[in-house]
Amino acid sequence: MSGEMRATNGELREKVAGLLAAGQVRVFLGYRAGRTPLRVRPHHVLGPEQADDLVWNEFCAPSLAKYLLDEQEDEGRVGVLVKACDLRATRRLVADRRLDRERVLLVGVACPGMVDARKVESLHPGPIVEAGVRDGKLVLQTSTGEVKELPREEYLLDRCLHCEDPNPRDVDLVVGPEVAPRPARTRDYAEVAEILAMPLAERAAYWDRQFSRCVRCFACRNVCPACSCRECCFDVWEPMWLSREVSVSEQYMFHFTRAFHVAGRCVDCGECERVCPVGIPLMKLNRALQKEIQELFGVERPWDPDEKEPLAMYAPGDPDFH
Amino acid sequence: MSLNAQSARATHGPAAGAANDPAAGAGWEPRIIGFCCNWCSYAGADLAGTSRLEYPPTIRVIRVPCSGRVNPQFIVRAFQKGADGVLVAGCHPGDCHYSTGNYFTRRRLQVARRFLEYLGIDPRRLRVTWVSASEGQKFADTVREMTEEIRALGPNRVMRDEP
Ligand code: SF4
Ligand code: SF4
Repeated sequence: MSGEMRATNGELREKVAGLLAAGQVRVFLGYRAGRTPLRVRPHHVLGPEQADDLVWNEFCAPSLAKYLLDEQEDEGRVGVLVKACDLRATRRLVADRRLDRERVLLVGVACPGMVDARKVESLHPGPIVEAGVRDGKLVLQTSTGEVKELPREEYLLDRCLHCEDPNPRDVDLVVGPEVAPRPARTRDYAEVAEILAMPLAERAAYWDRQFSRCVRCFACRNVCPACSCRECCFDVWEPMWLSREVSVSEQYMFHFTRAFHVAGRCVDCGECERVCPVGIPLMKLNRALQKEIQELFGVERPWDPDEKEPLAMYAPGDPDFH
Repeated sequence: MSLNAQSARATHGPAAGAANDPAAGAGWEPRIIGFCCNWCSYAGADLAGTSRLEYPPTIRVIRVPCSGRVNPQFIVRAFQKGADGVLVAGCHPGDCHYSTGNYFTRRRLQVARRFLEYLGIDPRRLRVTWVSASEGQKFADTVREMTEEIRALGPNRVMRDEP
């Protein structure tokens, strides 16, 4: 953890303890240490004394936004720690009228970019007993005492590499200093172009292979801030949109539907792909839809909750079928 | 369809026409599901019938109140259950019985059609067209054209359940 982040930790714990002591929030959602050094766990802070367990470090990748839906079922205001990408998720929930902005206290923290635990684990298998970032290097210590210093940039989440502004704006409270935005990158949709370069039969074979690994855990849906219907079509029995049968055919129904239902509302947070236990490249589906919507209807930033929902509107001059 | 990736892959085969697709068999005929809007296209299909216009018996028509009723999941389900093609027909833009339903359909299905293509479905297998109540001939022509096109493509295998 960098020195700045250490200072931010102190500030965060102090401010959260203060919010809870003053009764300004009923509960605060943050992070605490996980079971391995590469991962953190959500921490529901219910009293000032629990604030000491809060952590803020380069492994706080998970978005806490979706927990807000459960928490707002109870009385009182809910505090939550948000990175810039998490903020986009909360704005999505507000735009979809699922979250009451007045009931949430947003504590923003500028983010230096989060480490992708999967990238680390795939390139450095074996137990890691300590992990942190020092002087721009990712430092890992293995169980045999070996210390590895790695270039941090190569181990960041993909979404961080595309981050436009790592400083959350329009929040209720800020902890920690600002972070300089990384050089702007235009979206080239390279991952989509890769699929489009395949002949149709090859595409189908590719998706067969990907979808057949899906275990239907629904983690991708559950984490998604654009997927928040009170009653999901995958959960109802009548009509049965998705049977409990696990066949490639039904996997297409599941994956087509999941992606299509968030088309034009997906905030490009990448959480679905990050939480998938079998590593299905779900962002390749979401990005393809973003690209189509941009091209067909001239929507510049389909991932921005401020854009009017492109599939809930029309223009008389929209492209026609021939 | 088996979950085994190898066998699943094998079922797609090369992008072949009916002629060299063993599954096509000698008597194979395309199966097309047609979603027709009650106010225009269904009446258009009816007119084709009462005018005794000939078109191939490859289409099974499902009447919907508006083309806007066609949830893209219906289209996926049709392909799952053995359709080789899907036709969605509604009133011409500007003529929707509910004013704007077909404008929304147009947006939604433009995206859905491209997305299905991204997943490996030949875009010629999903046709969206506007047929008014007086266009019996257009309906018959559309079904004939589509049938010929799909006959050349052969049976659909992508996302299909057991045959
Ligand atoms: S679909 Fe994935 S990337 Fe898009 S909002 Fe949902 S979780 Fe985030
Ligand atoms: S998270 Fe992955 S395995 Fe789970 S339902 Fe989604 S795609 Fe399937």
